[in-house]
Amino acid sequence: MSVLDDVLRVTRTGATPAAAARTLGVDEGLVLAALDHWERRGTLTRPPARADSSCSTCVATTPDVPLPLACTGCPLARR
Amino acid sequence: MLEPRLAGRRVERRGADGPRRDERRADEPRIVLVGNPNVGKSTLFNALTGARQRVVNAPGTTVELQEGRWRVGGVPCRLVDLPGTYSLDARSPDEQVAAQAVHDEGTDLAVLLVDAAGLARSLVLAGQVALSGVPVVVALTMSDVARSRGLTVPVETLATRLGVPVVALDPRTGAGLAALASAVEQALTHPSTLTLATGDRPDTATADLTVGHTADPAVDDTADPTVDHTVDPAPARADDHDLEPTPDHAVRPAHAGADEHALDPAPEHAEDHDDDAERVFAWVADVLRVVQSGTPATARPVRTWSDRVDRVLLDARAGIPVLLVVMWGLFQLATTVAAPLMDAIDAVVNGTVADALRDVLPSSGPWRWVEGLLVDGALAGVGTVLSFVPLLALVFVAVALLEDCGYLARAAFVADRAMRAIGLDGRAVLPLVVGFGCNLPALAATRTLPHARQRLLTGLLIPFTSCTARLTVYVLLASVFFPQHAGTVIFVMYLASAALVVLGGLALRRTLFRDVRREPLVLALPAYQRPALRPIALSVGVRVLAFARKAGVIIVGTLTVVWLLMAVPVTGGHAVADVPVEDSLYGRAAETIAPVLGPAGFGTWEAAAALATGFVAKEVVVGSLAQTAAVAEPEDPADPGDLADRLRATFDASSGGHAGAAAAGFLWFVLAYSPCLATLAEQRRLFGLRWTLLGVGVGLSVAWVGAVLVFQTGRLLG
Repeated sequence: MSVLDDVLRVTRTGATPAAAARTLGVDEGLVLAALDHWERRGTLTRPPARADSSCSTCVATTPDVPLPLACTGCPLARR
Repeated sequence: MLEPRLAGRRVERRGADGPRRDERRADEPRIVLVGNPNVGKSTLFNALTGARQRVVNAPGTTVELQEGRWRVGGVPCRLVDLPGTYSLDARSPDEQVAAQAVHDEGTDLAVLLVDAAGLARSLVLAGQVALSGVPVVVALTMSDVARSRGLTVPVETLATRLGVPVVALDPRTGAGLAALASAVEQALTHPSTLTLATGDRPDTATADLTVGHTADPAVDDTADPTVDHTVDPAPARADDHDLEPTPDHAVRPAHAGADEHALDPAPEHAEDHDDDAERVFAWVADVLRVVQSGTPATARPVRTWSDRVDRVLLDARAGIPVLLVVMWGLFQLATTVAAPLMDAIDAVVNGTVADALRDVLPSSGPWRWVEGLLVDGALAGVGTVLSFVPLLALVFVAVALLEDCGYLARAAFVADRAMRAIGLDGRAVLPLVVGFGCNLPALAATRTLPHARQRLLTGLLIPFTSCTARLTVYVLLASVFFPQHAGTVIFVMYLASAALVVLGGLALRRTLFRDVRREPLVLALPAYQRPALRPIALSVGVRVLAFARKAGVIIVGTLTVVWLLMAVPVTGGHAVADVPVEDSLYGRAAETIAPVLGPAGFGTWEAAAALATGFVAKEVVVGSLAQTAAVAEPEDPADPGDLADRLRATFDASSGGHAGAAAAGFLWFVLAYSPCLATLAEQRRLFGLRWTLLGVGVGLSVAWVGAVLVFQTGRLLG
């Protein structure tokens, strides 16, 4: 198994990046980079870590990017 | 002088068709600054170019770049500050510009900024730069931040592993800039590329690649470093698992393209990936192992409290019940806390303010018509909008808190697993969750699904997700007909919505969508964190204001139109604006529809009219019920009662004494019958008229059949 596959396998079980790094014994930055890789390939999605910290998040969302969950129901999010 | 310029490997990268670099800009090398976001690129760019810079658009894009002049060894160079990126596998216009610039034959050298405090992510980018074959000088930044975290990056070791010069610098203080200039000058004459060698020892570089620094990463720019470039520019040995530079390394298009296929973010087999990525990550892991060998090991897994909480919340058996309890609690909170606030606002707007308006306006002649329009039309709409502000604010706050602390992502994870277990695409869970807020953005969110058929399947299911607008109807009817169990009734409506999505998905998968395959999806969970209250408060404030302004316009406008329709007489010879509702245009049209709803227990013109206006927007249903109740002639003029009494009387009469069962059927109908006009328009735009009409037809059928079943079952059970 490669680093990429290992990260995907552990993340699939519900591990956070920090937990995945601990489980695999690798740098957390490497895990984040691997998650970024899988996200770019469309295999993985990352819900936002924090509700929109700026008021414009919902407005700025483009059609190809999922809305933050906390934007649900926001009329500003209508595109 | 910088001659001979760029001999060797970099020149080979051009290919036969491209003009030779030294033919185009023999005296002006192009150097790009590339690195992760917030690694100090712009600070370094400003430090190197001073005032000799300008803003240019990247060719064919609106992405702005800073370009400036930097004199290296007395020769002016074009220095370009590229947008920060974590990957050359571009997915945004900014990243695409950065990737293209690195791969551009006109680029003579890349100064790659590596974050000492975020080494892994920087090295992944470095590995991708290595694949491009562009000559590289590495600038190691953020060493002070790394030291503050107890991390030490040995510069010599890093340079040895990378096979290119590494200069530790601090763009903010200017430390290391002279060494960087020296390294760049040497690299332009004797270019060296990053090598993806793995193993114990890279054979392509020597320790004296390091420029002016010792194992201590502290930046020291007091002495002019001796730069010894003995880098072998030849390709590394094959037995090192080196990768040859890839001249035409494909830049993935940004997703914003108009082409349907260009939006596909994933290949057919999403977990397939190229060997390049595997090798880059293996190389990074190898470099990290060597470079961080002095760092205290953290390899031994330690179970944290976060892991323990996740063990429960993500458990296959406990996760769903916990999710249901959280949802139930949310609706209990919303109804119990919001109800008195909503009543108070309603009392002020439709009581105090309405009475004051009636007192001010003359009540004779045409003024009676104006009074009706203002008080029973516009003001009733304003009251409806304002009364729902507390409810929506509470829901927004609760959802934002759940998301901010990290639970909502866990909820999506659990729901995703459950959906895949019943055969639906796990990827569809996020658009469907968004649909519980508003169907319209949920339809837009389906564009992240990789295949058109999956988008269509999910798009047909989204109207079954119970949007926030429908929540207003649930709150009203649950409070009126089931006052002791209002929160539970609303919770059941959301369960019913989820059941509709699941059953609808299964039915479609087994009939019209047999060709749709399940795609694997992984949800990466964020860490738990303390909610940030101020941003949440700001964001909730913005949303509530937006609801009041945008949805408010629709509600007030629709209710005003409804009042006007109720003012137009069609039977009975009444005067305009002085007509019983049953003789108005509105009442007659609604009465025509009403018998169809009879088997469901709410075959009245009031209910039919409210559902008809709900086609415009579900928020209007409540306002329409309130409006028709307000203008309808009370059975006992001495006791006009309030809206709750009127609704109970109406449903009781239409259902033969089973008002509760009829109200439950009405709730089901509102849940299933049709999304609002805006959502239908978006469906038509995305999927075409045929699928939209099919969806409306199925929705109406499910709504009617379900409402009849609910009412008749409730009636039989008494």
